[in-house]
Amino acid sequence: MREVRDEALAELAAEGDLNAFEELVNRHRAAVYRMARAVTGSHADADDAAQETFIRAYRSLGSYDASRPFRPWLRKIAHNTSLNVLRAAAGRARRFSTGEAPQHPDPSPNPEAAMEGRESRRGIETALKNLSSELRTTLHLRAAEGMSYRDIARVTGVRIGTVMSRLSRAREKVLGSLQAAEGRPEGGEGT
Amino acid sequence: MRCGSVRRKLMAYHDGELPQSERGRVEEHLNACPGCSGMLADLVRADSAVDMPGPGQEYWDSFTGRVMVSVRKEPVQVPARPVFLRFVPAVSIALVFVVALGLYLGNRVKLPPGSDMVFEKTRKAGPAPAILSVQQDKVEMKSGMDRNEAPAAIPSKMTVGGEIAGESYRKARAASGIPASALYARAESAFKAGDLSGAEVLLRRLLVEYPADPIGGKTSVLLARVLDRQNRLDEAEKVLSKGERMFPGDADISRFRGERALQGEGATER
Repeated sequence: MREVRDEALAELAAEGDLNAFEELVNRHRAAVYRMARAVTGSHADADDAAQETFIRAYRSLGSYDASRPFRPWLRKIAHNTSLNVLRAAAGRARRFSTGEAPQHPDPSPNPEAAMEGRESRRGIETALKNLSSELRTTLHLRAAEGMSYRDIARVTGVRIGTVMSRLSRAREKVLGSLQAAEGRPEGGEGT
Repeated sequence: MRCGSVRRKLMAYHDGELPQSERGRVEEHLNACPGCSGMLADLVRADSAVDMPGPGQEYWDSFTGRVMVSVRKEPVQVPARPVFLRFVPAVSIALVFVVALGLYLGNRVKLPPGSDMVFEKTRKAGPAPAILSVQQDKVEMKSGMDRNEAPAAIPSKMTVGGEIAGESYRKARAASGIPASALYARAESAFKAGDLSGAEVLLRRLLVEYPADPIGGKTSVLLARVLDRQNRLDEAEKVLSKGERMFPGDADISRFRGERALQGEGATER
């Protein structure tokens, strides 16, 4: 069975077919959310950014060129929107730095059952949180989305050389944090 | 290959960005060198950190609904104009300017002696004939009318693309700029050329843009054929049922239903 291509659905959506747009949302929501989460680093901001990404994409459908692939076009919007949400969140944090920021529950599945392995997960989360947004996003686009250096450069608006150096630094930092969480000296061979 | 050279290329190797010609040599070294293969394992480990658990089904259950509520509040999308139409305003302004310049210069040009007589003769001949009907086989002209006077009888219905331009046509035309019959013709040729995806898009677009157009029955049948060809029988059935609800007793749908039933029986017998 062959499904209708994203580009064709986007064309239909641009002409007012909301069912076509809904299908696009269903197809890409997980990837957009993951990207937003990588950029913003929190579930609440990722949720805002993912919602806003699709609304912006809908508004921009009139200028979308269906002869070009839909996925990178949407990723670019997701990246820019997530950066805006991140900046807004940083602004809020500065304004309310005396008070405690509201905590949003992270709706990860089965929180009770996830007790096992939570410690190692926490180590990994700390490792990712310690990364800057640029490094985290670059690592996410490569490792989770499997994008090429060229596509990452296009989405994030930097040169391929910058992508490679960010990727290298991101991996180095993540490894350092993981090893520190395991009580190993950074760069050590372990026991 | 030495360790230093391999380590410089290790990230590109891991990310699949190393040319095929070099991959083999790097792999050969990795098989023999525990230090370098350990570094490769570290890269894999760092990447696995990114693989975070998603927010769970409960979140996704409401996500699309929330997006669509916001999208429905958005103003109706206006399709982007084709490239050539984007230049229409600029071309119009240029044209007005050229005509104005021509008129201005024309008034300033001094005519050669005797040319006034030509204008005088034209004026005496009376007003130019006015065209009443533009039918190819019968062009009727009437003299004695002023050029600015409206023709006595303008045909109330114009023929465009073989269709009588009635209210539904005008409404439909306003929706997309492409007549239903043209969309159908494009879909039919895509279907005949084997471009099922293209045909499906055009037919679905037709059904969305012209939901009440009488061509809908025919459109539903062709869309069902396209889906059948891809073995998407349930979807084809839904399209036909919807077509029957929209156009009760439509001859095209009934005929196709008959064909489909015969084919179904044939398949069962075989």
